[in-house]
Amino acid sequence: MAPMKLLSSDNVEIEVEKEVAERSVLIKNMLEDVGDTTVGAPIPIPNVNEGVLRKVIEWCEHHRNDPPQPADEDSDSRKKSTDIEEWDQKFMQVDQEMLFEIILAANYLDIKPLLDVGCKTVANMIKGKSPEEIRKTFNIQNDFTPEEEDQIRRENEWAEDR
Amino acid sequence: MGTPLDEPPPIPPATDDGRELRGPVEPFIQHLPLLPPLPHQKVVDMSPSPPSKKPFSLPYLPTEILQEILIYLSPHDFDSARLACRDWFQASSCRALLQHNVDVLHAYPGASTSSQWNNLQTFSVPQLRRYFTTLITEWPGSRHRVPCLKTRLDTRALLDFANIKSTNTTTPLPLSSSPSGAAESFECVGFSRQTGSFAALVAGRRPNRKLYICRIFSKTHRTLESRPHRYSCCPCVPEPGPLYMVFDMKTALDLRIVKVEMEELENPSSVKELSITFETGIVETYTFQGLAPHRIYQLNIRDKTVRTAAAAHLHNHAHTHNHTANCNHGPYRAYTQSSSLAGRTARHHHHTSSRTPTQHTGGKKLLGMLQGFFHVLSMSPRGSLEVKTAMPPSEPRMMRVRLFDDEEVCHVLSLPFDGQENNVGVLAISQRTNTIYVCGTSAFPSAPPLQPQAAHVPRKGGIREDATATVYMHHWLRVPPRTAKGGEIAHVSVAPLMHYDIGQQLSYMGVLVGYSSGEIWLWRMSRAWRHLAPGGTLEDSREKLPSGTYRPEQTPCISTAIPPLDGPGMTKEAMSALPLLHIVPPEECQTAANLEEPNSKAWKLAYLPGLKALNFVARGVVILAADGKFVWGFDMREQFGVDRNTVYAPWAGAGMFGGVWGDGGEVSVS
Repeated sequence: MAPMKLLSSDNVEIEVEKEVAERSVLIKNMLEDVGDTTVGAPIPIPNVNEGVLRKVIEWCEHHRNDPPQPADEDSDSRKKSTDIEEWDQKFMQVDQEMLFEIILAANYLDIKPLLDVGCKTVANMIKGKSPEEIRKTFNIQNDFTPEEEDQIRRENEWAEDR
Repeated sequence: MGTPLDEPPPIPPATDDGRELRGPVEPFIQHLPLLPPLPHQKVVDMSPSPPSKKPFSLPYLPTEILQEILIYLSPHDFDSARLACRDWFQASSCRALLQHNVDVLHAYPGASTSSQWNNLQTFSVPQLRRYFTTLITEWPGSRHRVPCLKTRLDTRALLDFANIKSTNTTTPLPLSSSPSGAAESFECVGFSRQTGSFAALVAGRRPNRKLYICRIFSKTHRTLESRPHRYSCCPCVPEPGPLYMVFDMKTALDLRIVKVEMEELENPSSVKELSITFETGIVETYTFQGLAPHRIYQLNIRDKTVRTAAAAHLHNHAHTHNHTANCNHGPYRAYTQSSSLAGRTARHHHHTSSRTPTQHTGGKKLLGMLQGFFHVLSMSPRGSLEVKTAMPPSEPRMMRVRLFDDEEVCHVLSLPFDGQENNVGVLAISQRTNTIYVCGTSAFPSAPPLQPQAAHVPRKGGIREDATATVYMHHWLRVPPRTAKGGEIAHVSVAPLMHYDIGQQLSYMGVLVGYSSGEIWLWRMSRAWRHLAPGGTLEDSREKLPSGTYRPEQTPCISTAIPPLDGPGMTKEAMSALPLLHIVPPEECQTAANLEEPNSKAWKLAYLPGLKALNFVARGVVILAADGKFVWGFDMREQFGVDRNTVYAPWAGAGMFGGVWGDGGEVSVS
């Protein structure tokens, strides 16, 4: 239950229990490299700002007792299911900006289960939408030219004489 | 082969080896001549957004994260997501993802597994991607693809034929040499207006042009069975349409033909009226008395051979010259028509090749046998003969459109929703903003019953000559922006009653827009708005169906090309003299800034560069388009069973689109 400190990109120190912080493989490896004795100095997390970091820590605290993921997980079963447990669903009810910040932070901090939850949330937002609706949802600019888009849509069709 | 994309930077190996999905993205574009990627413009906000909403734009996501997201999607969603933008497409072109989706599609019962695709492991990623595209296209009801049966008629042989004929016949040129001046595509294409049974194609060099009329719907196609009264409105899939009529177009004036329209007799089907519009605005209309025979002769387009046997019994017709003067200048209002040009039309002959067998080689004598079936343009002086043509004009009229204290000149179409034109909608086409405003005239305070007395309600606010009209906007249609340049609106077609949903008591209108870039978009919207006064609710304006048997009112589809605004003669003075159309925006958006996309359903139908014609036919269930070399058919009735765009009406059999409101398709509602 040793406390430690993380330093966000906007220079805010956040106190967190070591056990919670070690949900992040990045931090865990870092602590192992440095050695367990240096508790005083905060660990800089240069890519994550305070708000996002607090949100990530909130998730880590709730999931601190989760069993570790099986090493050779059945990738098929993981692929198919976009089910998200209830607490995580509520946790992910944030605006899109925060959602993608969390995904990027989970990727950077190497918190695989959180990354999965984030990606599942985005996938659920994509489900059932047309490309145009997806662009509208995420405010993506359509950077295909009409020719390219058409070619992709029907790469196979009538290709022989056009 | 265009410039290939730069190979994407290799993705650093993932930390845990268990994730085989994070393989490096192979060079994903080898067969697509994609342009180099545009610089990332993630925060470009093209349209003004309401101030209340904070503009969000997707941050740059590394390919591996995008792939993590794509893992969770079903093949349909995967297909949609990869079309969102370049980054996503790049992320999707990864062997593991494609393989996974192909596996899912293979597991689908009835999936086609050609032996050609047996060994997926040996496929390159482009091959695998192409295979996925094949599978996902075949999967019934792919979400973002319009549920329709696409067919096409190869008309290039006609073009080749016309090119040979229009050059000197004594020295026939080989096709491959492409003689200078040979037309690369048809000058003009038109479709007959009701069922679209015929396509007219103008080819060849001036002044020796030919007008071909092909039958493009086959009576033998199997989807015909669902049509009431054996209507022929199905693109004939396997064989090209038989050539139905050929006209030599020998005109004194070397004018470009901008429009060909036809009205057909539906049962038995033949061409009833043919109207040709020249670039000066001159319209020539030909009326055919009686039936033109079904197959005067056949030109097998695919084989480029002429078959002549069918015409022998028609020979007697060739000598019946019943030249009734049935031609006039039509109701067309030309932008630049001058009296001198109009006067010259009288000498503007349109005659068949009466000389014939000797001129053409071998058995092609039939070109000369057509003359009995249509009338030579009469020499009657202008205005002396008032002949009502069967075809109402479908030209857009130009008006000054006022919206949000801004005024611009737009093309305006009025849409009849019933046969008596008591009930009209107005479509204003803004070429400056590439937007179409769909407006109602608010003639009714509440929904009119579908009863005859509705015919006597006067039309208020409709477009009248030299008047300021006020209309109420209910939809606005605009293609979503893309970073690359799009095109301007070039073709508009409207099906006033495209789809009728008896259960929901909703009728839908279809708007088809062709852009100069070749993109074709289709919008579908509930037309309850047409009665909607400001402040009213859609619920009030919903049509109340009478119980018992009734026949939903039908109005023909309107298709027109949108000419450029700055045509000759459109001076500033002429523009300011145009009648004014005042568009009242909906109450919730009182400024241009909060004019957002309407809540109507839109699909991208196709991409046909060089689009020549775009028509709704058969009440909007079939879309015909021509791109100068091919005629394309989009049959909106699902090929496979009943889809969600189709009304389920058990008494009408399959093919609901035709069955519910086809002619004779009386519907009883209990």
